[in-house]
Amino acid sequence: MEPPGQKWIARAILLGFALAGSAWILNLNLEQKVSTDVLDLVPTDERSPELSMVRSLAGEDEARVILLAVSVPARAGEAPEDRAARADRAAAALSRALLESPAIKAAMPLSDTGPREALGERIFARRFDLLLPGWLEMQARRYAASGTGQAWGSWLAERTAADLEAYLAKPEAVATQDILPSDPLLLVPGLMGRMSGLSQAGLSEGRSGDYALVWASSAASPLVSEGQAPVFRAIDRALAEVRCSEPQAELIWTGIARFAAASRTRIEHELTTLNLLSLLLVVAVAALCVRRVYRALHLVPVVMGSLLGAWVATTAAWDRVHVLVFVVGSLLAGVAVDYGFYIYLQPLRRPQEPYRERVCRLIRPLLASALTTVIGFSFLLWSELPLIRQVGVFVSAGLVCALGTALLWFAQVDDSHLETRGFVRRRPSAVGPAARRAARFALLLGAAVAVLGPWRLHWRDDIRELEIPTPELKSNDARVRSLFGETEGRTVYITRGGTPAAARSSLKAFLEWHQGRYPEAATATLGYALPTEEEIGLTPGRLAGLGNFEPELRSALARHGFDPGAFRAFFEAWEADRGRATRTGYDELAGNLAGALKGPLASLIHVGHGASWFVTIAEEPPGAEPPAWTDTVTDSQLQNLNKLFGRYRVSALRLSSVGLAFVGASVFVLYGIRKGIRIFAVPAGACLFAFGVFGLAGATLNLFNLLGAFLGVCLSHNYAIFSAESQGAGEEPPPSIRMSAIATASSFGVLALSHIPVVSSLGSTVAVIVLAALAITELSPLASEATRAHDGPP
Amino acid sequence: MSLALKDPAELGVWAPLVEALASKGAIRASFTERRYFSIRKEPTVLTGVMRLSPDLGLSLAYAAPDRLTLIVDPVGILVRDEKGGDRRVPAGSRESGALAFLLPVMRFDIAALAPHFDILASGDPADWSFAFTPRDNSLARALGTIVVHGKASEVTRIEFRRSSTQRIEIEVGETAAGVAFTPDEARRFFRGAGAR
Repeated sequence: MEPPGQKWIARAILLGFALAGSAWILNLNLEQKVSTDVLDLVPTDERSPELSMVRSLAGEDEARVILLAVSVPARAGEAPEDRAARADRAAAALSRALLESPAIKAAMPLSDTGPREALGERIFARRFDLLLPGWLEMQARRYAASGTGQAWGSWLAERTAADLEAYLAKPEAVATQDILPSDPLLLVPGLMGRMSGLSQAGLSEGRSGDYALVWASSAASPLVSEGQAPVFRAIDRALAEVRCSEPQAELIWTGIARFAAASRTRIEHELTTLNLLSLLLVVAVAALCVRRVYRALHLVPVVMGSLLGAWVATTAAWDRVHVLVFVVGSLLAGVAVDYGFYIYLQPLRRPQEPYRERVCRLIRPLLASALTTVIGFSFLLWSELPLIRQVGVFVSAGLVCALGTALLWFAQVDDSHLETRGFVRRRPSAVGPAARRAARFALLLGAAVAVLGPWRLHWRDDIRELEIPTPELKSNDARVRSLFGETEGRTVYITRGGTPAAARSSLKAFLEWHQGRYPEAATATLGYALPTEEEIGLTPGRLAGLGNFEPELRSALARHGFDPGAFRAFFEAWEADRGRATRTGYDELAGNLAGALKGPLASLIHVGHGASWFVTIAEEPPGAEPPAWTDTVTDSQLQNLNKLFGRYRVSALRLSSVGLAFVGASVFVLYGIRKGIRIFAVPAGACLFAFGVFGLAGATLNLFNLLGAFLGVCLSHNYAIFSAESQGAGEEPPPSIRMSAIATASSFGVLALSHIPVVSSLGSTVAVIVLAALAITELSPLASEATRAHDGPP
Repeated sequence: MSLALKDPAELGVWAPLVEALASKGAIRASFTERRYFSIRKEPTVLTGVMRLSPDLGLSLAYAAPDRLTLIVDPVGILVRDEKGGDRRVPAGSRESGALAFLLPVMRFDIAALAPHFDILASGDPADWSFAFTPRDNSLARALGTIVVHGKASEVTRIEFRRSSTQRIEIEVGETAAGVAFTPDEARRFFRGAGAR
């Protein structure tokens, strides 16, 4: 019988902890707290500006874009044009029906030329502000290159008339003839020519093959539930409406929401399945190894207390916690139960030995194993990657709570000792030379694997491995995007800057670099519609130097067969513009231009506080990354995020190395150098062995294998400590080591079954390390006992 | 003799001519295009070779003043530069305006044109003209009237009349009917088969 005071104090603390923790969890808004957004894995204050931009890009309106393509089957004898017209009508009906849903913020068929015409009108109205400075810059370069002795104004007048005459022979001249009387400088037609690449990009095509295209945008982010199910319902309803008039209409569509919803569903399924399976395996291991199986239920509160503490600590420390933390956290069931095993299965030194006495014997190895692991994982708090920081806190808090719960739980039960079955405790009474040789051979073989295998390792971090692969969605996405003109023969660049002026200046640098690198590849960017700040600064001087430009231009036009009187609208506008007292500021100019972009065009320029960017579409397959001084990246987010994860792996390696050094140092402090080396050799050897196995198997490892290795080292370190403690006391290693290792290997083995590649990596790494550590602790005594038996007196 | 055609079935005396024009098969013809602009006293003159294929569409290969090819087919409109680079003209854009109707006009596809145009046939089958006026007012303002002149089964001139100062006249020169385009000719002057 344990003292009643001890029992009641333990119960009160446990109850208080359970109530407070449960209240905290129940009051959480899990929808907001738990994120499935892969971008939450990237720090908000990511130091690399291009990654910051990629992160913000994905968080902006661009992520809400939904691309839809509708087709109608051909009727017998129907002309292709008529079928296309029916598809256009279906697209228009789909667009109207989508707009009826509050889940959809904008929708328009791409055949709707309204946004492009509105933009054209806006640019035409502001052509002297937007286009004249760049035109003057281009002409000034041509003038300098010509080496003529002619005056700048005279030369420009002649050049303008000659260019206009040549332009009239181009196919597009007929379409723009109405604006030529107001724009003989060809400011707007020139821009249209440079922007023609956008028509290749699907942005101005209303149709592609048999499909009529619709662009839409969701009201809510696709990464939250409001941006998923309501959007899917709106699309279903819209298609149903289209089918009222076109019963055979077919729709294919894509959007980030589809991936996010699929990912969320699958991860939730994984979370439930893995946790349940892990718990069942731990219970099964307990049931297999202990007598009176029902008494193994005393281990459940230890696991529950650990998980509760881990959830509370993690959710209290962060506003948003990625769901992967909880998936990975399901491993705690296998780790937390260790402390229950160590206390519950510790053999009694004498019948009726009081709990307090038994705990006093165990407290040193318990604290040593728990605190060294906690110290190790605490170093992950310095990681740049939120996921690793969150896992660090989750595991550290979970282990502390597991130890506390185990100590308190068994303090309030009368019989706190559970006897294991005989086979768990069984050890060979005498070891012969054959067993010794076998044990040594196995250890040497393991050492060879540990020494040679890691050199064959390959490391690669791919953010796609964080999610469950969805090949059917990816294939659909590629199909729809190709209809919208996103093909492999095209590269999309994003040029950024802190201000619109800085972004435009960088765009100029990028375009110059691109022209040198890909001289044959056309580029299209709406940045052409905005001058650089430098060009604006040079404009007054260039205009002042024109002299008698107006009469000279009239004469030049007449010489080239034009009627100067037909350009009255231009000369009036030119006069009015020259007489303007004030000019629009750069930010306002850029803001007005960006504000005029509607629908799909809106994604081509972003003007925001602290960050502005321009999109450039280039007609070449993805190749060299632009140099850093152009402040330009390709839109290959995967590539950028993979680089990021590669960098974080190096960072995690550094931190875990420091953490392991502290773990090792604390062992040396507690146990001395000689014993400390023996203890530390077990986890270190097991870890190297695991990497050796992976290396020889040709596996490619990632950040999460590294994280798993760190966890595995900390866990196997516990076995070494308990083994050494028992050896020091002249006792056999406690059976809890075997049970703990098997339970841990089982629960991590479950993680290895995960469909999420990184979770599987983590699970397999820990399972191999733990089993290797168990093998080392089992084989080492066999080898040394055999040595003693062999070397001892006959 | 003039007849306003509202229904392809009411072609009457024009039916044999329309049928002959529509069934001419592939043709190759030289042409001279004169573009009249309100800002210019004299027309801008372009010359080249026109190719019409029942399968591949219509191609206008300009030789002067600039070398480029304009391709109009059921897929859309392409502008191909001298180096072979293609630029799609967006459907529904201003630039595509008249060009989009050039193919059905050249094919004399009255069934395809009748829903969009008022058609007026004038003259007689030996010396005739067909005027196509868009029924849609905005299209009529942008496009004007398309007039095709001919003698017997030969098209001699195509006009896009927007106003007296804004028009295009295409004089069709020597014409070879029923020609077979070589694979190289088809590749150079029409859209690739893969793009269709």
